[in-house]
This record gives sequence, C-alpha cells and structure tokens, in this order.
Amino acid sequence: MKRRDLLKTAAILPAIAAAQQNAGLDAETPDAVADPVLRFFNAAQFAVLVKLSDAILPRIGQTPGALDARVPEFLDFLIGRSSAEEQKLYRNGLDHAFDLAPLGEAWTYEEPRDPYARFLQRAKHDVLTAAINSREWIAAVAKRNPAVTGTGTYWLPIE
Amino acid sequence: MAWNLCRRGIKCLMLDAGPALDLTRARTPRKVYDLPYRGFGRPGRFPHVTQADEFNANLWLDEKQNPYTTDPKDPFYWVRVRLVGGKTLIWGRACWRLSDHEFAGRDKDGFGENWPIRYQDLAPYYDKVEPLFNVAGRNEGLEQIPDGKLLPDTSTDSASVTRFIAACQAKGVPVTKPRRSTGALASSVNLLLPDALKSGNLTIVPNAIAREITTDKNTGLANGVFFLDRHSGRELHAKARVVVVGASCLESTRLLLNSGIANSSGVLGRYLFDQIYVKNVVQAIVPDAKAPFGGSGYIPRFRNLGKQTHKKFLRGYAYDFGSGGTPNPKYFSLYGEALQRKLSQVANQSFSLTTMGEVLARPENRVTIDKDCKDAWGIPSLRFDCRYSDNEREMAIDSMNTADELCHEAGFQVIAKHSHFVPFGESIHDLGTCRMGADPKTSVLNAWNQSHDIRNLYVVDGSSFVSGGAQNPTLSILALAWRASDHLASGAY
Repeated sequence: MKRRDLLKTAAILPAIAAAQQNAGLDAETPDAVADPVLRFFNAAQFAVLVKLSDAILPRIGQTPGALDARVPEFLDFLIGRSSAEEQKLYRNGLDHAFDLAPLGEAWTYEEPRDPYARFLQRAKHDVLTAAINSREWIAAVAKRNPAVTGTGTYWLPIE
Repeated sequence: MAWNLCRRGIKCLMLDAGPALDLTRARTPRKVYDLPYRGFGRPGRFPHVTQADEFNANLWLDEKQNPYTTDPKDPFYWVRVRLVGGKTLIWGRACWRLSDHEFAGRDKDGFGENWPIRYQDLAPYYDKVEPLFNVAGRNEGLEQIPDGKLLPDTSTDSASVTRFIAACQAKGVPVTKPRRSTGALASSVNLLLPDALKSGNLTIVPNAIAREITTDKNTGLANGVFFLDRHSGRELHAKARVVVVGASCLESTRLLLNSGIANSSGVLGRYLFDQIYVKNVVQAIVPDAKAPFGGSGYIPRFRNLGKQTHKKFLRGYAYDFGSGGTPNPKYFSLYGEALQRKLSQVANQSFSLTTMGEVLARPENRVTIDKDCKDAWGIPSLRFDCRYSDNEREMAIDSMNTADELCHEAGFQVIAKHSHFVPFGESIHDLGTCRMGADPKTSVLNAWNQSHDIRNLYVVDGSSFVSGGAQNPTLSILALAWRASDHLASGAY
C-alpha cells in the first residue's frame, strides 16, 4: 500500500480536526495535498537516512513504519532547524559507512563517546519519536487501542 | 499569603510579572502531529527547561528575554513561569511535611544550621493547608513524613506494587502511598485567588515586573516598589505599608539584591540548594506482571534517621516509584522488528524509581547580581556559582545500589541503573537564598519570614528554607506563608 492510500484509509479525521480549528470552515493540512521540499541533507545523505529510518522502524503488518510516516522528510526539516552541533552529528553520521552494529551496544546513561555511535542513538530516538507522533502511526494504533489519540493540551502563545 | 490577609480584612495589592490567563481560553486540545515540530518543539528554544515540550512551551519563561549567567562548568537550570498562579499551574502536587529531621537537622548531625522553628510550630498550618489543597494520601505514623489531615487513599495496590512493598518490608525500608493535592486544577488560581477577590480586599495587577523595593530614608522601612509594565516598559511606583515578596526563591532574592536591602548579614543569595534528582535511577521489568497494572508509591528518607548510620554521606534521600507501561526503547540494544517485538513483550511490565535527595546548604553555593546581564526590561539578572559535592554524589550512588537491591528482592529484572543526577536547578526546587534564622548575623529572615533588617518586609517562598530534606517543598511554602500572614495580620510586625 502506498502512503497516500494508507492516508485515505486512515480516516477523514484530518479534515474534521482541521475544520474544528478553523471556525467551521473546512480546511486541509498541507501534507495531505503537497510534498515536503528537502532543503538540508544532500541526496546521498538523504538516501542513507531513508535506509536508516526504515531499519529502525520498518512497517510491520498494518502498522506504519518510519517511511509511511515520512520521517526522513520530517528530519530533514527538523535537523535543518537544529543547532550546528546537531547538524554536524547527523551529517557526519550519514556520511559514515553504514553500520548498525553500535545500536546493539548496551545502554549507558552517558552518550557514547564515538560520534557515530552517538549519532545512531540520537537517530533511533528521533526516528521513533517522529514516527509515533505522526498522523499515520496514531491512526493505525488507535484502531487497536482507542486510548491512543495523540491529543494533548496545548498552551496558546501569551501576548 | 494574600488569601489569608484578605479574608482577615487587610487590603492587598498583588503585582504579578505575568498575565492573568483565562485558562478555559488559554489552552486547547491539539493533535501532536498538527504541531509545527511534531512534538519535538522548536529546536534550541529552551536549552535549560527540560520540562518544556511542544504542548506547554508557551507556559515557560523565555530564556532569551530573561537571561542569566553561570560558570560554563557548573550549569544551573533556572526554570520559571510568569503567570498569575505561577508554578502552582504546573507543579507535581506531591505534599510531604517536613519534620524535625529537617527543622533541627544540626542537632542530629552537626551540619549547617537549625531552623528557628520546630515541627510543632508549623504543624497547625500544615493541618490547615492540606484540606485547602485537597491532599490525599495515607497516614502511616512515619516520623520523617509526619501524618497529615488527608483525604483517605483507599486504593488497592497493583500486583507489581504489592510485590515491591513486600521487598521493602523485608529490607526494613518504609514505603507508603503517594500524597498529592487532588482535583482537576490545584492552583492558587482556583483555590485561593477567587476567594481573595470576593473579599473585596484584593487588587491584582498582572504584567507588573517588580524592579526595586523602596525604603523610607528616615525610618528605613519598606514603603513601596518600582515596577515596569511588561508590554510597554512604562515604569510606575506603588506605595505600601508592608511589602511581602513571594516571587519564587530566586526572583525574590534577585529583587532584594537589586534593591540593596535586607542584607546586613551578607548571606542574602548564599546557601542556595535544591534536591538532587536521579531520574529512573533503576529501570526494571516485572517479568510476570499481572493485571491490574500500574500503581505507584513513595519511599521516604530512611538513611541516618536515628543516628549517623551511613559513613559516606549526611542526611538522606527518598524515592518515587511507578509501575506499568512500557520502558523507553533506549534501554534495549535493538532496532527494527526485534525492538518492536521486545516492546510488545514488556508492555505493562515497566517498574522504575526516581531518587530525590537532600542537598546540603552551603554558603559558597550562591547567586549574585550580574550587572552586565540584563533582562528585556533592563533589570540586572543573576549569576550562579553553585555545584554539588561528594555528599550528593555518594547519596546518589547509595540510592542506585539500594534501589537495585530492592528490585532484586522483589524478583524484578533490572535492565538499567545509574547515579547521575540532573543539573542544579532542574528539579525546580530552588531554596535557601534568603534563609530564616534566630541570629540576624547569619540569616536574612526571622522565625516569621520577616526581614531582620526591615520589619515591614516579609519573604514567603522557598528562599526562606534553612534545609529542605527530600520532600517536595510547596506544602511547606504554603504553611510558612500562612503562618507569616497570621503574624502580619496580628499587627505583630
């Protein structure tokens, strides 16, 4: 199933949610009608990020994976807005020879000293978080567990 | 403070640095995937507010508008909220009484100073605050967390928690239910300020940033405060017969330091302490967990109570523990399908503890005014010089080892443990920089939260603490403020 099809089956929820926020006028979210433009990683880095995201969270049965949730595209945006240090960690990590073995090392409180191992730990966290916070993941998991709604109490900006 | 003064017929003007929000309009349900950063929050917005997420980001004080300085080697996380209601809008709600292990700590181990009051002085006020804040819990007769006027907690314990309690009992470690302020909102905004306004004696002025307390040249008494309108920066002066400062520990201290008052002792800004927090000091799984899942509890301080039993550190620590849910994926050295299978296997099996430990009040841990570091309103901010000591480090290590033993005793599988506490300040339990004391030479406030130097000046937040134990401080701040306001209202000042 392609991502777009998954979106269609995922529900008409987005339109309803958007309408509630727009004073009764029906509206759509940008991602439902358009594609993200990649601005940060180069083509080779992005290709590795796709491979890495899929390895960290592949689609399992009917549960969407990182690629269904467009995690690489989102991380291109997020890391592009992050600190120079974070950007360097990601760029160097994606330029490094692809090797997931450091993800098999036992957890320690302090981050790994090796920058590539540190990058993989960070990427594992970021890919999982971006995926489970996605519309696609929440719609799929909500079918099994209605308690999963993705809804939180948002504090509006203070004037 | 204002609540009690107003109901006793005293006119109060309350200046608050932030706005008075209509909470029904200030908050709205949102989907995490509709937030601009998918729940991650805008990168770099809050380098020192780990509590900030993308849902509540607008609640916290902006660090760029409100800078402060530290030694880069010794960071301090200064976490602030500027809204009417302040941090009572988001507090953790844990309500533990202090005991004479804190009030008379020096008598027990020789370290630091005693408070100028004892438990029996504050107990009547704890008795009044707990019902007002709908505190629920269980009285177990534990001397280190005295019993209270509590709503009964008759809930049964989950299977995992029952096993853990049995392990604690086998090891002689005390354990009890959480003790928390209950209700949909447990804030001064709903519990105190509406009644105070109904009395007709309270005037709230929001968006009023206090800059300097003024004093009468002839009498030396406080006579008002300069403040700035948050939006325009326009400066005004309000006159007052009595000035009460309750701006949070470090903002109150900053205001007094910027005013150049109440510091004949030279200790204003010194003795900064908080509590060490070792989050998830032990993460375990309960291999054969049975429904109903969930449940939590509290282990009060058990070290060095009767006499000094532990050689490597003074005082002690407490734990919060919780069960149920799924451990964080970071604990498993897996990815892909294997990780998801593992997470399914351990669903509902998580069991973890967090350490909360006493930090010793030391004069060298201090704040001073940094004249070169000003906020967006031109008010000089604070410089922090503070660091933890071996006492806190040894305590954290002991808490890790003990939690590990307790989990093993319960038959739980420990999958991760560590003894790294969060940076100074992160617990948002900053205390001590304007401390009480019997001797005006070594303290800023007397036993009534009243300035030794200026008798019509009161300071009623955590800055008045002499020591803090491991207990969350809000309940004690409220009890002390009530007691101070009775003193003020009686005309004794």
